[in-house]
Amino acid sequence: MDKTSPPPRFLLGCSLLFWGAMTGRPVIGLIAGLLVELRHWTTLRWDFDEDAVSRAWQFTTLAIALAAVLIWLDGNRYTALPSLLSWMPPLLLPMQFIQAFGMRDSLPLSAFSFLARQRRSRNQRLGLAEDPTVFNFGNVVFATCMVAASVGSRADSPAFLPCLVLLTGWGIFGAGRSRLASLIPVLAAAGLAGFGGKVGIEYFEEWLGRSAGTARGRFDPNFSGTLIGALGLVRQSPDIVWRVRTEGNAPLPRLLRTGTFNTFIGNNWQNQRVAATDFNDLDTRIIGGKPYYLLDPRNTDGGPAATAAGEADRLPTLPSFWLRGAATEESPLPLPGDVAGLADFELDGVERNTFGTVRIYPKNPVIDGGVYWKGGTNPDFPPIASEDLRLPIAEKETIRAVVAEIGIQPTDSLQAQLAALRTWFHKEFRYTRNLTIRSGFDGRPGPTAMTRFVKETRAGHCEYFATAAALILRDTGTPARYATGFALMEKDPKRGGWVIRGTHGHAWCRVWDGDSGAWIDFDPTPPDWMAGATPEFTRMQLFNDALKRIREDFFVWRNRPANRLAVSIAMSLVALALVAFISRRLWRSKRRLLGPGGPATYDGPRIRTPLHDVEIRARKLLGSRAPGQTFAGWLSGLEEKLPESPQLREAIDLHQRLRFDPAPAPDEARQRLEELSQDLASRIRNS
Amino acid sequence: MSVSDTAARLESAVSSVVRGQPDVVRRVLACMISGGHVLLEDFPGTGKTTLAKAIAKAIHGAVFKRVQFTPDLLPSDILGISVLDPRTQEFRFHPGPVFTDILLADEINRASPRTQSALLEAMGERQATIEGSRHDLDGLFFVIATQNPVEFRGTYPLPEAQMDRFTMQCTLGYVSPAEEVAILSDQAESHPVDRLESAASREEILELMAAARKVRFSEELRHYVVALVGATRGHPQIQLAASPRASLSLMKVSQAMAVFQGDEFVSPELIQSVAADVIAHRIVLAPEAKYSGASARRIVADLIESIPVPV
Repeated sequence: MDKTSPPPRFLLGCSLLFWGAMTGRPVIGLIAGLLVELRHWTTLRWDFDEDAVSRAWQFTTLAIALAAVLIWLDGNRYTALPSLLSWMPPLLLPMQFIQAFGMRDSLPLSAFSFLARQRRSRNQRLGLAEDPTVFNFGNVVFATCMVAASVGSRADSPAFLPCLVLLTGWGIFGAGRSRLASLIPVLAAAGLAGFGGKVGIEYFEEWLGRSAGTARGRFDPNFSGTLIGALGLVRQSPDIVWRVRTEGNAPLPRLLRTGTFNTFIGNNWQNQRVAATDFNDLDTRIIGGKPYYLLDPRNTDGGPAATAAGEADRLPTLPSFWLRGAATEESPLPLPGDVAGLADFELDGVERNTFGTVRIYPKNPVIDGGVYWKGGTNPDFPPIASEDLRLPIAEKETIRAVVAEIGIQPTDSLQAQLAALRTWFHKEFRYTRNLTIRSGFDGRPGPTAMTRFVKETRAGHCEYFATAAALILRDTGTPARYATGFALMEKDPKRGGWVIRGTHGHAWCRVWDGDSGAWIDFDPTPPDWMAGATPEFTRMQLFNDALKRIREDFFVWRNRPANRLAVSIAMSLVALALVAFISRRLWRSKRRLLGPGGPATYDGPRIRTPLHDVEIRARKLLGSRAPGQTFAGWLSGLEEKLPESPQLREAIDLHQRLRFDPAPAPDEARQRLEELSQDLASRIRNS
Repeated sequence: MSVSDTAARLESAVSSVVRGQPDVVRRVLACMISGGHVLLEDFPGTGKTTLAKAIAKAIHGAVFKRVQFTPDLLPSDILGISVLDPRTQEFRFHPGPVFTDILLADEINRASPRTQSALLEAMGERQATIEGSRHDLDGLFFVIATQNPVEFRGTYPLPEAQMDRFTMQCTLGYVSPAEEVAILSDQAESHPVDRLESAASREEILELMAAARKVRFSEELRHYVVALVGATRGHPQIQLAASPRASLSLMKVSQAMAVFQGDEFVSPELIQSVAADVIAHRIVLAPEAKYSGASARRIVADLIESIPVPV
């Protein structure tokens, strides 16, 4: 393909439409496509020199950088790259505008590349001949459209692949050179490449998400995979996940829960009772002119009898702290075990299940709000006896033996039992993040991972401790559950407040205190685990933390109603000023293409001969006529296609005479041409 | 005898000497018939001089003169000079080679600009002003100038304004190997120019010129000619565009081509066939276009392709 030849007419417009359809931005795609193809209907042009191209390229680069920052601010940074890629076609529009409405058919590479400029200036200095690299930017936009469409959100639709192959084929076929037969392998390759590229990009995104730990793996409120029975080091992301701050010296919870589970099967914790795991919207109540979300189950329909409805009114007087962090749809909110209410979060919805797991539908990617706690209530419903006391059969024997070893009796008070358990764990066990217990995955008979933990190695991480404690407590007749979440342990000395990182992720037990009728947190893990939980601060980590902080704080600031208006007004003003500035400069430097509509147009009578009627038919054999190709020259091509047409030459000569000889022609000539044309038309039809 | 017969005889006579170049021969002859002058730019030995000689020889009674341009050539060497006759004590005018029917100006870019412009004035005005007095040139005054594209040292490239005086610029180019073998066979005993019989008289050529002026040219095609030439103005790759003189020349040469084709009117094909030769040498490319490898002929060819032709 010639580098300077533009893509075929309308291909770019269709590609932009395709991009719009595949990325769910059809209106932008349509507008961009129309803008690009408008050049075919207007003679408006600009004489952009290399400086103008260079400036447009700088402007485009700046716009891409700005878009990258905005995308990073607006969403998850692990999907930022594909997201930026999917916005590339409209970002490249200024360059395509220069290409389409400029008066040259190609752009010089030196307008883009510093190296090319250097080379040129060196050649000029040394007096060497210069053969600058030029290319048509339309081909770049076309390729970008295809790539961007493949990362679009709708690229899994059945239309994706056929359209991709069709457009690519059009692009190659339009460039000339290729015959249809030789196109097929190329198109097959393009289809495969498109498919492979799409799958590859999906895998890449998934890999990015997986290596980051959280990005795409959605939180499942009914399943918590553990590392029990796995080998190796426990690895968690050291990135900041949440930030917590308080007014003055208000107390802070030590444990913030995200999920609760009650069934231990196959070394994982899950919830199997469907009715109990249903999520229900939280009630809201306006207290003192401010809406609060109520978490007390006694305020919930279908919950325990609503005896303490009045309790909610004292919510604003409870201890509270502020929670800030990034969240997506159905993110679980880390909350203390005795949380009573939420306020100030900008949410589309918030719901919780009977285990007290709260998940949210945030309005913005970063949320910020107050958490009220220590109200003497739980968000959890009371225990389900059949579930919360169940021991897996495989562990029963071990747990019995252990209970006997510790020497706790079901008759002891709960406090005494927990104290004994805690002492036993702290004395006899060692915390380690280096896991050495392997579960018998091949079905061999032998001790389970839990059995080996409590009997042999007595070393493990929090999931082992929490699981063991829950099972031991169940054996003594105390309903217990397994809870996951974060431990609050890292204070931010410079800025005040606390930070929660991925490495602060923790697991512990929820224990039912029958006397007070509430669930309490019980953390059996030896406290020295915290020593290894806060990572060493590398420069990279500090930089990441600072970026995250800036991003979230900016977000929260921007989303405050007062600021939002100011920001949007300021942005609109800047955008308007920029558009006005560019439009003004463009309008003043506009040019018109000479040609149709120009001063040399002939508007006198145009003679039509009978041979003109043959043109449409002849197109089937000859292809369409270029604007500069003469009719006679074009039609002479029929001599090859219709070898048995002696009248063709005569018809063409008559046509030329009728058409271009100013002297009046005899009527017979026109009649003769009429006959010849009809004859020719029938010959073409029969060929 | 009709003019088209004369044209055909003339053409076949010249073509029998200048082998394998029927297109160029016809265009150069058409240029002569249109009353213009031609600049042949080509490598040495491609037959420029032979072409000029053949044309001169084919016309019975035509005077042929040749000037080899050199840096020390003076205007008077071309135009002529008045010399004092000691017997009569009067100045007698010795006409220079410009007073001829066909003038071969060989390697025109080797002479100084002063000498070049003396010739070019004669070409433009069909007159020579020598020592204040005007001398009209003959009705058939056809200049074939040649220049060599490979040499630059010691040459004075023709000024852009003066390139405009040439109606056409043609290149001969190398012929096919078969034609080259035929040339060798032709010249085995004597040069075919020497054997060439005259094909037309000087008067017949003047008749051809009159006939060319009478070839019909439709109003619509006049607009097409103007559109073609006008498109060079405002073209981003062109610094100096073609003048109305180019439009005029394009029309006249097309008419002359029609004579050789035996037509009484001009068709758009004829215009397209000579447009590059008539327009390209008159335009000056913008520096950036020149450095990016564009050529004037290529630009004109692109214009022919893109400007809608009357059908």
